This record gives sequence, C-alpha cells and structure tokens, in this order.
Amino acid sequence: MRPVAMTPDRDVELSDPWRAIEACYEAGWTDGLPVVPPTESLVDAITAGGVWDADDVLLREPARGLEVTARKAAANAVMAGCRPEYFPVVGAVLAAIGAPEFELHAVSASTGGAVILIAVNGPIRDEIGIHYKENLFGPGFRANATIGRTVRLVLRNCLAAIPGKLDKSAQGWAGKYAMCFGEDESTSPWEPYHVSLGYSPSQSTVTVMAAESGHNVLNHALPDPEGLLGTFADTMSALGSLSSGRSLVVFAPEHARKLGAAGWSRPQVQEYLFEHATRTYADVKRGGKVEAAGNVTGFHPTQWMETDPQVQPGDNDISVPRGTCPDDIALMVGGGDAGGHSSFFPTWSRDRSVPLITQEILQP
Amino acid sequence: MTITLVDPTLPPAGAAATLAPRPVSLEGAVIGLVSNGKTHARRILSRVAQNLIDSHGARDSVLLVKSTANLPAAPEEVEALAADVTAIIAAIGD
Repeated sequence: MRPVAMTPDRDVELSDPWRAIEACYEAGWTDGLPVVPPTESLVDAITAGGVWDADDVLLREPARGLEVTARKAAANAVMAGCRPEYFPVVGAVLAAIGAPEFELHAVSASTGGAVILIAVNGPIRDEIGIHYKENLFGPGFRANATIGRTVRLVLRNCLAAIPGKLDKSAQGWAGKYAMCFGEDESTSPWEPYHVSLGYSPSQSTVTVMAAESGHNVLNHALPDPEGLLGTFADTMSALGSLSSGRSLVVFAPEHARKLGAAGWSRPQVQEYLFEHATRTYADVKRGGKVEAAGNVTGFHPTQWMETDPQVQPGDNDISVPRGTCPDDIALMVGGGDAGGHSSFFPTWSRDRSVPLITQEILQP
Repeated sequence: MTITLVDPTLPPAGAAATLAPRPVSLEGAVIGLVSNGKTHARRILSRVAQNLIDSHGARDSVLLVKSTANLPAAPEEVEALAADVTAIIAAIGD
C-alpha cells in the first residue's frame, strides 16, 4: 500500500499556554477563531478505541487524489474542539463528501461559496448531544459546532481550500464556520429522513449537502396546508437561487405539526412544492439564467440550452420548476417548538449541482 | 517547556508536476484552449486566442470544452489536444 503523504509535526516552545494557540494562528491552521492546539496526546485520544487506525484513509478527494488519514482528521477535530465520541460522525461526513458524485473539489473551490451542510439522524444524536431544537442552526451546542467546524478545517488544512487561493468563494456565508444539526425525529409527522431512504430507525446517519445560504420562511398565520406551502414554494422559486438542483426544506415544529394534522404525507408535500416552486421561462430568461446555446448550464431538460436567451412570445406560458422531480426536494424537521420560522436551502450553484449524500455512522 | 503539535495539514497536491517548456516563439503555432464550459471562459479564451494570432503570429486555435466545470478534463481529451497544438491555455470562466 502506498504510504500517505505526511507533513512533519512541529515543536513549539511555550512561555505560556497562549503561545501554543498563537503558533496555530501563525501556521495558518485556523478558521479565524482560536483553535485547541493539537497535541499528540489529544490527537491520540480522538482515535483511541475508535473505528479507525491512525493511518486509515477517511477521505480521498477524487480530483487531486489527496488522502486524509484518521490522524490528520483527528488533529483537525482536536483543533475544532471535538470530543472523541464525536469522531464517528466526522468520519461519516468525510466518507460522504469523498463520494465521487459529490464532486468535492468543485464544491470547495467554486465562487458559489458552498457550505458542507451536515444533518444527523438516529440514536447518536442523543448519545453525544447533537442538538435539534431551538436555535437549530445557531451557536451554543458543542457537538454541532465542533463537528461542523472540523470538516471546514479539514477542507482548509488538508485540501488547501483556503480563501483567495483554492477557495474562490465570492462571498461564502457564515455556515462555512460550522453547519451541523440533528433532525427532530420525535416531532416530525413523518418517518425520520434517513428512514425514508431505507435506513432503520436504530441506525445513525449523516446527510451532507453542498448548500447555499438558507432562506428563512416565515409564516405565523398558519393557514391551510396549501397556503402554508405556498409560502415555501414562493421562497423556493426566487430567481437568485433558481436552478435545476436539489432543495432541503427544514420545517420548524409549528409548520410540521400543521402539515401532519392535515394528514399530508412527505411525498404529498414534495409534490406540491415541486409543482408550485416555478417561474415562467420569460422570468428565467430575464433573470439571465439561460445562457447562450452550447454552454454547460441551464435547466432541465437540456432543450432549454438550445433556446435563444432572448425572451420569445409564449415564454410567459412555459413553467420552469426548481429541480427536476419531487424527490429533488428533501424534507426534514427541526428547531424550537414555538415560532413559524422554517428554512429552505438550495444546492450550490446554478445548475443540477451535486446530490445529497447519506452515510451510515460507524461506531465502536 | 516544549510541546509537539500534530500538523493538521497535507502537502500540496501535484508538487512533483513540471510545466512543459515554454515555446520560444508562437510563429505558426496552433493554440489549444481548454474551457471549463461556462460562458465567460469561452469569451476569454477566444479573445486571448485572437490576440495571439493577431499580435504574436499564431496560426490557429483549437477549443476543448469540458463537459462539466466541476471535474478535470478527461486525460485522453487532454492528450489528444496536446498532440495537435503548440501550447495550451486553460480558462475558468463563470
């Protein structure tokens, strides 16, 4: 087996504990926030007794063939503030984003500023404290914050996704610090997201998504399901994020309970959103979304790419959906019990983008 | 007191790659153009190629458009292009 390339550890002379933290800044290892200095004992503790040996490759980035070992990932996990029991989740995320269909190099380098959004399902949420209630995407929960942060540090430190260098994000968004949350499975009116994909409730999984910034979907009046979902469909059809890509809708409990009380199934909600999250072809063209024929972009089906980008008679009568089918719209539930605030996340960039990938979490 | 920090980084990819020798002259050259497939890459490349023809004596250009901006060009496509041209310019448009 070919040895994985390594960089040498470094010795730091300590005059006081802060010196080690400064050394990490000076080395360029941080995301701008202080990190926990990755000492050998802390790094060893992350992998000790776990699923992987130190030299096991957890992530192989397909485009450049870079390989991230458990030890390298563990060093970044220590820096992020992870506890050892969080590391199985980190390993599952790295396996998921290394899938060829996730196209990690493009996700990491694009001007689109994609975030690696991580959603966790299954018993591990309560076992290690992955939060899925109020302030779902916000700060304050160690597992959520440090797992998400580890992945960003791995991208930066191991895959050179450094702003202005490989990472050409025009703006990015704050989720690039950390974006990890659990689904509130007990509140959801449907089966847990991972169960809808065929996993058993007793299995724990991560689902990763190359996500643009989320849109808050506010609806406090709670009308009938069609009215409520109309708010979501309108948000999802925003020209600024309209594409043939995938979507993630995270319903707050208030909204989820309304749909559940009305007896709407997951497929029914997906279908309604797909049918109503549309714009006219004329709007799509006026929004500059259809580029000259022959270029790789545009919407599904590919016939759009062969059309004049100028608005033509009849374009107002053609509906362009977000995505290609209802299954392109993933649904989850999470957040505080009070508050009609849900979220819609579009997949990164202007076209079909990459799929959501779900990976089982292996635990010792 | 000295502590040892585990380096969390990897060496950069492709450190051993070397560039082909730069042509001494572009007189009569055929310029290979590799586009990432987006609109503005094609525009940039076509203007660069025309400049090289008008101002530097290049003879012609050949365009390779990747099927997706997200992945590298297929090795066989790059090899086929390299066999027909003097120099290659790649552009990332958006």
